[in-house]
Amino acid sequence: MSRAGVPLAVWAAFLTVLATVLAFWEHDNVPKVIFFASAALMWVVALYALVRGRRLVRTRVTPDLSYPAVFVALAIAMLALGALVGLWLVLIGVGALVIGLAGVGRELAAQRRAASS
Amino acid sequence: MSVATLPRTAGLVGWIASTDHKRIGARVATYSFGFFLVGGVFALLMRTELARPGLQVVSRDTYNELFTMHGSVMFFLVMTPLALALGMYLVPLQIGAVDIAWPRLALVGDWLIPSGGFTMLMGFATNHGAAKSGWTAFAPLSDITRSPGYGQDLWIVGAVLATLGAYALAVSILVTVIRFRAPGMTMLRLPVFTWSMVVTVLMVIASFPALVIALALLFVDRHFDSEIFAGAGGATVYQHLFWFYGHPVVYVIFFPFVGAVGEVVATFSRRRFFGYHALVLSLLVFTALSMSVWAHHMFATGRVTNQYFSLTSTLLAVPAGVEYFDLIGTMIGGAIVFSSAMLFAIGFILLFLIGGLTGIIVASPPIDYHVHDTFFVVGHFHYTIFAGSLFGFFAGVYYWFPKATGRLLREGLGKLHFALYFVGANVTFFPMFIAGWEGMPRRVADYKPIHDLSLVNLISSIGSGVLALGTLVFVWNVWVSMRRPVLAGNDPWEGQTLEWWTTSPPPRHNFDSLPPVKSYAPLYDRRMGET
Repeated sequence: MSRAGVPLAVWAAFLTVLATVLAFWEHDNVPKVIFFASAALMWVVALYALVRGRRLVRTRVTPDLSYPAVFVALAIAMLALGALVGLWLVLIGVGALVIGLAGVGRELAAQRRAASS
Repeated sequence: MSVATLPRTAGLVGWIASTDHKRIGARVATYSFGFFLVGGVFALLMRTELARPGLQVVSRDTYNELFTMHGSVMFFLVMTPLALALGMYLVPLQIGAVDIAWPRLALVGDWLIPSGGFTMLMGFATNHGAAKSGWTAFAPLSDITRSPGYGQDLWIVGAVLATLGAYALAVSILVTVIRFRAPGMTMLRLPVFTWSMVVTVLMVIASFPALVIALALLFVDRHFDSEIFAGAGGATVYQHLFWFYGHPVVYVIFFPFVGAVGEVVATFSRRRFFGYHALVLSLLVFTALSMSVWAHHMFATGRVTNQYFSLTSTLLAVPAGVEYFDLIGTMIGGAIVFSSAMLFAIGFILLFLIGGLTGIIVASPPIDYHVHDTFFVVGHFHYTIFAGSLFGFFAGVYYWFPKATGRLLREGLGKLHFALYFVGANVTFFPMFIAGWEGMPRRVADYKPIHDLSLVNLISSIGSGVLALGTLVFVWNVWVSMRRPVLAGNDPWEGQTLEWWTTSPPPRHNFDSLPPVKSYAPLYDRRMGET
């Protein structure tokens, strides 16, 4: 367990307490659902930090450039804009996303190989 | 953790695709400042229109587009990205990390924000013009009947992209703090600025999804006749979702600058930060409380529990008071150096106080009913965001610019910039309290030619010109400092935290060595040990 996750858990607990107080006061369900959902999300983040938040001690190989990541960003923008402009842009966006993610995967594999060698 | 890197790639390609957190941070800050100039021009146009009663400069429709895009640009494309850019640049340096965690995610986020920005601004080129329903895009004002055309849709897509981009940057910063700290850098030894970034990214992660959901549903409503936000109940649901994002985002663009001001105040008071542990606790409490106050924006709907939201809103004054106490406590007894950075920090402390105190006024439902949707509220949030956060940002810029560039900004121009901003901010925003108290509604292009309103609006418009002049002085300062550099050295201010240990600007891998970390201010410890 990592102590780095403790402040996050404390924060999630604060949110839970505040959401609980709201639940006693508020009759409308919408604000309660939003607030509890947000607190639940923060518990997930806090648990991740508690369990997987150990400090990294192994060697990292950091690439200086990542074109595929830029491609992924542009693909997401095209996908979002495609919802407005039309299917043709969505399809181009999907293609760009696939190429971008494949490129990121390739980079990660190369990074792993370099770290282990 | 050790690291192996390739040499840094120069040129445009290196600028576009670099995974170096420093380049990502600098890139985000640069284009955000560009968007700041765009949003500033929108503000100047609005103030010019309001300088006199009647319509002189723009039509009502154009005015609606201007205030919508001014608010949207400033929130989505300027202040939020600027806050995260500071964190992206500085957090790894402050915690002794060689790099940011998940750099590709940060790079994706970096490029999503300007994509969103240009998408949003493209609305001006459409038949019906840009979005006109305010930066809040309240339903039903933003539905397809009342806001026809692509402008509103482009706004929705742009806001979603910018929000996703900010989210990616926030996740990357949080994972960096959790996993990449240097040996000895425990959570209770994180520098003040890094702590402020931790709580900031927690708020981003907890609150920003609500906006994405709200806008996705709004888009569905506009194009698929789903009527999710139709009727009074639907409008309230939209407001809950929007303000669950919309209030915390005000703190997202506030806390990083509290942290920046904390670093500046400690360094230029030549003292250790006063009440570090109390500050950390107050940051956690403050941010958690700030997640619970969103519906105070909805008092006037009559559909929220006033008691709860008024209580939590008023409680915010307690942790805010602790932070003010710590900042002032740090200065007391210190050997204060009135550098440009310190002046902006003091300006932040003074002016945000006005924003904070007027916040208590609007947190009280009876008074809020009186001033709701008036210029009083505009004055209040401009004191918090412009006179508060932006002053904190410039405190950080004058403080860390030498670290990022290796060059000092000119102190004389910096002080002139501060003077113009301090005068300009008060002359622009204080009259808004008077106009609002007298009942002048916000979001109007014209007003009755009553003597008081005409006068306060004229004064406010003159103030906005002073602010524009201050901005030009800053741009000139950066230009001069880059063209005729005065070299800064590694640590021109006698800084306290790890970023001042490395070269200016830092190398790709940030550090060749690290000093022992036994507190949140390792360089201060070292200096004290030497004397």
